[in-house]
Amino acid sequence: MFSSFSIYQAAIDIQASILKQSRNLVLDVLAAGPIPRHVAFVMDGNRRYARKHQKRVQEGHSEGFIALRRMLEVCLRLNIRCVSAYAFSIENFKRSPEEVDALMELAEKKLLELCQHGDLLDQYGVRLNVVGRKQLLPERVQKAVERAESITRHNSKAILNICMPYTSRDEITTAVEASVQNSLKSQSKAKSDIVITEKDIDDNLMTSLGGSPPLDILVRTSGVKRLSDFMLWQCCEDTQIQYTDTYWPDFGIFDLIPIILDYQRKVWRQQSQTMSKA
Amino acid sequence: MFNLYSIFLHIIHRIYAIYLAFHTLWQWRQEQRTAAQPLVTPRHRLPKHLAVIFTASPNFSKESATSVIVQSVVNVVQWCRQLGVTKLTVYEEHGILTECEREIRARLTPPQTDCEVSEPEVEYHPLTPPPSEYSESRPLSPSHSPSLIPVTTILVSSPCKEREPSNGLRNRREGHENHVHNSLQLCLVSKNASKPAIATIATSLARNIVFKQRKGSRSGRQSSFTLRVDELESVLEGEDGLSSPDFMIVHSLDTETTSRRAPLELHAFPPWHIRLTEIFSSKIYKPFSSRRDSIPQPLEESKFCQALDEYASAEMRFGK
Repeated sequence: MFSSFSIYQAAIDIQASILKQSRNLVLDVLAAGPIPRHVAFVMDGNRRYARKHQKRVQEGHSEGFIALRRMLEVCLRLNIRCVSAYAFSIENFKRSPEEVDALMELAEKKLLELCQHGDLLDQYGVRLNVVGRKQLLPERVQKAVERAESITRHNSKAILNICMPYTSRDEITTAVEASVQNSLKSQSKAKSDIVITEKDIDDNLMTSLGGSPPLDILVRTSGVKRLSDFMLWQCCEDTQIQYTDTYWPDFGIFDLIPIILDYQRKVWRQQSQTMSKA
Repeated sequence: MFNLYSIFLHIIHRIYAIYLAFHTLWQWRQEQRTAAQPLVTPRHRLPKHLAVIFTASPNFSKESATSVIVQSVVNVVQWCRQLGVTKLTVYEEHGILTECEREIRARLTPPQTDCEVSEPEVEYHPLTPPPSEYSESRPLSPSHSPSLIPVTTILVSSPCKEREPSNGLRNRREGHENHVHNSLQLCLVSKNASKPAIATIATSLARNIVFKQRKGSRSGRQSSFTLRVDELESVLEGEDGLSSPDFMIVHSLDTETTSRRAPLELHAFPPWHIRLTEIFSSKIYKPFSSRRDSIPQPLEESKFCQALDEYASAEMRFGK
């Protein structure tokens, strides 16, 4: 009655299930220690991954999206409350029109897929923020963004920031502009004594306006050792910057585990330093 | 269940610590074996503007950290001048560099004055420049705005060496190039030039608008304030002040023992200027030293060369 195929299929399913359970166990063990509040990923290396595997560039980006989903689930299971991902830079509009169009199409499709009922964001109560100069996106993508954001707006357990099209300098400039506008609107009489502080600018950053906590870890994949205009303001103080040679589509839980362990070591070290001073 | 998981977590951390110990050892052995290319090897690419961040844990006494930092700065200046790097920005979070600016200047002037060190152009920032300095037409006037960022600049140069002009024009031009090639602009920066400077600029922009509204100018009254990226860039970056480095070396005065291995952090370096900067983490691996005998480590030439090698091999795409 049982065909060999269905036995084979059952074996695969059991293996997948065991792997998933062990993955969840590892994540639950990690979650027993200090966990970062906000982790940012620079999803770099999609095109080089595609070239390495003799695939088209668009397929590299699709694999990149799958990696994003995978990492998002891992982070949510770890209780990381806020995840940011650098999807598209304002500078990336310089790429070939075919690639930009393909990326925009991917974005439109996947944004709506992510927000569907029963999908990842719904399951974990994640609010989606699309961070960046959205006016530069094509109309259709802007509409998809609005729809995706409105579907998840009521979620409050976690935040996902998709940064597209984003550059940090643009974000800082917008925050300075908003701080100045707010200070001018304020009703205080002594307007010549206006003082704008670091905190004012910080509060007006697009990530802060979306409710994101301070950035604890920034991960850059594909072996590149620069920030490329990503979260410069947020990461220049005491954010841990982690470089990894893995291309983004290959990035997985085993790449993330040492990063979390390093963070836990830092927190424990700081706690022991405070205790030894007290 | 929670306690059980905590126990497992501590076991994982022990395993990780052992792994890090091996990794530190391996990295130390790699460095012993493979020397970086010597300083003046022709490299595929050299940074025109180099930045160095010095970080020190609170374990060190201020005097020892200061003397090591000053020595390292002087060394880096010499190396940069040999390589033809034209601008060097040195950063230390807590302002040690500004405090020992005199000492650095003195150390950079050798006894026979064949090397000129200009009077440091210390640019301090008033909290707000007086409104009368502003021009009516533009909200930002780049001419005085760089003074809003506190940077100590020292120009290190050699005067023209008097060559016998045998071939007339050609030799004089060569002599001039030699002079320009060796001069270096050294900027000493601390945390004040970082986010607080951007806040100061925002404050002065706001007060400028208030001033214009008071004076009743047409441009000030009606339109709401807008700011473009290039406008803010022109205020924050200047040839004479702080500009964006091509390459940055983050040097930790601590030795990297297993217990203290930590990933890179930027210690509040000015955020605007590190958009496209390649970052190199300079750490001295000493797998067998204990926590007690901690002496601050200067930036050594071999590490500097290793950093330059890495910069030369970096791939740059600029968004494309």
